[in-house]
Amino acid sequence: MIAGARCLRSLGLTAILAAGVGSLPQASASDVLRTEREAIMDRILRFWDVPAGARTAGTLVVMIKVSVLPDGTVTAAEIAFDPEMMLNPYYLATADSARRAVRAASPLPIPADKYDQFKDFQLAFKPQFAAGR
Amino acid sequence: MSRIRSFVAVVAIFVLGLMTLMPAHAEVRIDITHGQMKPMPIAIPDFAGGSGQEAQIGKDISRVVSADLERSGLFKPIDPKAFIQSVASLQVQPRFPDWKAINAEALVQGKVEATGDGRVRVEFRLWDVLNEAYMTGWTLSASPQDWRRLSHKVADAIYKRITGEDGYFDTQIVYIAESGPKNDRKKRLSIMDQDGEGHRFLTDGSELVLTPRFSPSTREITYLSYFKGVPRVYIFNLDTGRREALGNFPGMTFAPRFSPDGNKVVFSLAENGNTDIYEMNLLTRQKTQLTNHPAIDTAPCYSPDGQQIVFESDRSGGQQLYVMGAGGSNPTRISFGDGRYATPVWSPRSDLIAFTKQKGGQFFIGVMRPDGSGERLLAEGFLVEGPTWAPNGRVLAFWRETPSDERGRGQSVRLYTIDLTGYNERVLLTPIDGSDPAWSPLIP
Repeated sequence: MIAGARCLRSLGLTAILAAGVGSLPQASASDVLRTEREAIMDRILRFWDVPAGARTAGTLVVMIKVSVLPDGTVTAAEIAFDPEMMLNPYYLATADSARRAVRAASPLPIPADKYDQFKDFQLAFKPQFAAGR
Repeated sequence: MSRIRSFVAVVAIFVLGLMTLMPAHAEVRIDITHGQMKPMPIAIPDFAGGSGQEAQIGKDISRVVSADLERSGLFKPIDPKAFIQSVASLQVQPRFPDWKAINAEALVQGKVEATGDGRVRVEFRLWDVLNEAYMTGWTLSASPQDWRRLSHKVADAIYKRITGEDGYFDTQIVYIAESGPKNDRKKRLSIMDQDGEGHRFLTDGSELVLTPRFSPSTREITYLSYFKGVPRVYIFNLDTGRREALGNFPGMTFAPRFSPDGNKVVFSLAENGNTDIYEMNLLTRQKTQLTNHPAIDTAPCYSPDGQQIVFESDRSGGQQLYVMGAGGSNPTRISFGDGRYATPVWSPRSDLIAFTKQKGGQFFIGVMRPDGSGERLLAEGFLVEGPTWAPNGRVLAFWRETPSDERGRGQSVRLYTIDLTGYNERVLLTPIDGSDPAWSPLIP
């Protein structure tokens, strides 16, 4: 890697590389204010009825891909495929409950000035600590 | 040098390509680690039926499914008076906006049809109202007399699809029905569906019976009965109605319980003033002693994999719980809280052991992990005892004795259920007083 960079510099390509790395997207957490994400989280958790079995299902995480309109109306809430889906009996119940929560919580509090970042996003539902046993 | 130039060119193309392929912003991800724990609003209209009998069965199925799900504490059936879409049009296609309008999150659609050979075909479908999606369903045919079992099977399917756990509605409970004054109590072996329906007495009350327990097949019950004043372990066959003594031992036998494979019974035997735990192979009738200690060892129960046994013993001075290998190896104390612990029962899920605890003049039903950690008390009373697990390991039944009046005169003995949250305690109605329940596995 170091040798590769030295070669690039020797060919005057350092600037290109630096510019390229600099324009690569940073971690989303640095782009999106914590309060904006928390506003969405607070809205969703009010509607998420955690399946009884899923609370004891270990480290199960269900990813839901969400698409919204600029006013926060949910247009899609799809289960992101996970191989665990086929193995964990609680996966489907949790995934369904997560999708119901997203639908019920619509419209979501999407920041108007950051619609580009929020028009498609992912929710990670983690039932392990979601409610008492 | 030209090779280096080629390498650099490839790297540059790769970097530029990467920049092109990546989105302007990485996708936002939000973790949801909290939620609610409230009953799910569910609409359960009458199952559609043509003729008088089919229509009646359709109404009855809907009623029993609603009652099963409501009792679990995880569902809130919506009052049918609120329904907008009719049963007839529901058979064509659910109108989801009509069900969203009454805040239903799930919808059950079903119908009953005569098959022409004296049987009925029951079809049901479960719909996710908010996602407007089909969730599960099946079609079964059965004798019209079996409509209750079909109802429980529908409730089990709904419970499993929504919660991710097996249901426990198509099950039975065997218990001791009690009647008469305290000093002359008549005790009869009795059986009923888990909702209290289909009740029948299995013995006539001429002999005292205690501690009934189901076999894994659900077709046999082991219990204790006094014959000529001596307690003996018997096995009762539910299909034939016949009973058989487990063995003719010189001492007294107590607390019988089947092994998970149904091939053995573990029990305690009092011989020469000492009580130890034994198991009997039901095929060879060979008896094996598992504990050998001057203390009283009793109330044994296998782990679901049959590899361990939990039991109670006063070998440390007070009544405490111990776990040992199924052959009797390495008995290890697991209960260390204040008070006395008794009647341990291993959960069918393996994760917990239920017990009775006595402390400060009160009795409690509680659970702990098999290593003794995580003790939680779920129910309490003047006298609560004898926990038994529903087959999904989420609900317990037990019995509670309460004085009939403020001076402690008389008594009332009733069966109760409670779930692992400790919040959903229900009375299990029986025709007369009841104690010592045992919950069956799911009926095949």
